[in-house]
Amino acid sequence: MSYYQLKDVYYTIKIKGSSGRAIFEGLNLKFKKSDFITLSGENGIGKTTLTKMLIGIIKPDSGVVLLDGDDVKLLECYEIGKKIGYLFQNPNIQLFNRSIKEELYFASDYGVKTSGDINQRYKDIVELLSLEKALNTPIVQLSQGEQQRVAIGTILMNDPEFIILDEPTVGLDEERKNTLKDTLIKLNNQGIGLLVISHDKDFIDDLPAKHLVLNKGGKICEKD
Amino acid sequence: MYGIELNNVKFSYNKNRVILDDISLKVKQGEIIGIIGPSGEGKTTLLRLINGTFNRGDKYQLDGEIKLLDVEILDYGDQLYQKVGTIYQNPDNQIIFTNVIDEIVFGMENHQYSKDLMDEKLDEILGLLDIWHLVKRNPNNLSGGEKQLIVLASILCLDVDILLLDEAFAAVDAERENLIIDVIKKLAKEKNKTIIMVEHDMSHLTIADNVYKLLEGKLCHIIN
Amino acid sequence: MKKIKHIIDPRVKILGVAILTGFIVFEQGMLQQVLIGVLSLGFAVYVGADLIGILKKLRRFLTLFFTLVIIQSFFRSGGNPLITVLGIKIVTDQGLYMAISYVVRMFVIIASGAVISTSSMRTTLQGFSQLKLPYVLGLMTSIGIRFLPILGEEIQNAYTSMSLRGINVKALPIKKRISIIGSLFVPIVFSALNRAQKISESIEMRGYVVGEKRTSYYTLKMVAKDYITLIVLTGLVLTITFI
Repeated sequence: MSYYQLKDVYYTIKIKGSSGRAIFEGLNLKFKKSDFITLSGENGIGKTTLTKMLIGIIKPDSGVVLLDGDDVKLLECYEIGKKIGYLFQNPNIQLFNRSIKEELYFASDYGVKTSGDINQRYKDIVELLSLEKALNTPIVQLSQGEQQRVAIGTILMNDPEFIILDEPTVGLDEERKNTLKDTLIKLNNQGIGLLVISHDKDFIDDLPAKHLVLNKGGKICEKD
Repeated sequence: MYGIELNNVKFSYNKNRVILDDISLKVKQGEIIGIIGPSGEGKTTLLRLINGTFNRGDKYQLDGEIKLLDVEILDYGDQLYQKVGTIYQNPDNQIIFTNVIDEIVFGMENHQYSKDLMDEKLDEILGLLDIWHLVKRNPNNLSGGEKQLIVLASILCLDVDILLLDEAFAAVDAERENLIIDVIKKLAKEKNKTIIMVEHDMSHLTIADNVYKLLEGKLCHIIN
Repeated sequence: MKKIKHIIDPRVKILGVAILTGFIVFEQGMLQQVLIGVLSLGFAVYVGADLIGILKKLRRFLTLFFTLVIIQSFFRSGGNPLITVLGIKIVTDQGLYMAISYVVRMFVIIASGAVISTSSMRTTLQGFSQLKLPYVLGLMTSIGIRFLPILGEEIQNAYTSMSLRGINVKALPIKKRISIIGSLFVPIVFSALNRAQKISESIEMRGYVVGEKRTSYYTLKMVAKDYITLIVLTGLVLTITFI
């Protein structure tokens, strides 16, 4: 049974004054809960559109997107968020607080309950992402790599089953890309599924994942 | 004549935050150099000292000599912008119009080029970059690589002698990457422009004549 | 010489809109106001504005607006009652007059926006420029418009990421909802300021200095049709004023 499934998805971007640009013409894709997948493809081919369909922000013109058997169209964003995490290309768009601690406790401050001891989880995540030294620095003063780790931290506080990362290597240097790589491998080993969108060949080649390529019209093929 | 000359340049924000520690660098006209190194402020600060946009608001200490085409950088005044052009990582932070032609002619209009001269430049540069087909488009709808080509066109129309690229390939797909790299080679070898490419990805620096590494404020030569 | 394809010169549109909105502010008579409203409609249709499309897009706003107008104009004392229920004046003639006045004025504003939007941003900018208005105003407006979709996308992304943390914003009590919307704007404002700085650099590096002389790739030339349109429009407005 697949965890995520896009079935016969058709989608066209409407452009003023023309018939629009067809992005997906019969896209079919499925993955299991703890899959580790990378998706590459040319700029503008629809990678980000695909991820936005997975979290329901973009709805297909026809076809269906299923998450654990449920039609994503019928789910509210916060319901999807209980299982799925999403790391935006620009991590600071998902950071709303002054300090790391406030940021990680943000969801629970607004009533989101997750199983287990939240304080223990906080400690574990700070350790996993090596954020101890940054705890006293305001988020706005952190480097992009650190902000990205905080954003991942906020996702992990929710105990996700699957995380989608949109171009996580843009703006990172070699050292930080390696750190990210290690973190992703650690997370997948804990059973969290990962979908990494990236056009960074070297980065994705180094990941122990299934490598897919998105081509025109939504045709998916495996990378050799 | 050297395109760019840095002699014993020291730049710091205060005694504890030394960004550039006694940097000396000579770049010939028509030469392409690459600068790599870990993320931090060094590489971008170096570029900003050359293009005149380093943050004059902050308290800083700058020692040493910076010369462009044998002229002390401070002696250029406003003319500096006609000598140096910079392309940054994110074209969405550089493009301000919703029409490609408007974007490209903006700089020429500011420098009071006549209509005929503008047409001449457009012919030359749009031909060089092979982007005539993009002329009526809205930059919002272009791919990352196409956008960077527009930014490049806009700068080249001003006949700058020195071109700085600050991780300009981050948002560019493989196909356009090669086109831009070819153009850079042409600009250096055929038009004698002096070029500095700041990069995380060594693969973009195959066309560089020399590559340097900026580490802890010091510049060291790596490859010839 | 590259001529921009347009039917009516943007300067005619700018001046026409200025005249119409200027006069609607000063017109007192009901008849005059309604006639200016009709003239605005005519002008918008004449320049090819998609009024219906724009009104459709403004549906929600207009509903709110009409509601406010009705609330404002009902139960007004003063003037002769037109509708009374159980001895209470519901609608007076003064109230009705005010309601119609608001509606007509809003319509003129919307029609004016529709008229301006029939020219591209660049040609309108050029119109401002050739009318000797400061280029910087048009440039700032044009940049604002260019970044509207990006701002919209960022707001959506921020809200989405907030929801994806499991927070059901719509179900929060009012106080918490207001505070969370406040938090929403933290990254947005930060990003906007950052972008503003980079954009101003991009502009500066291409030689733009506010107020300095600059040339233009485009030149607008008015033809007979443009002049006639402007004269007729002005004449009609003056006639209406002095009926």
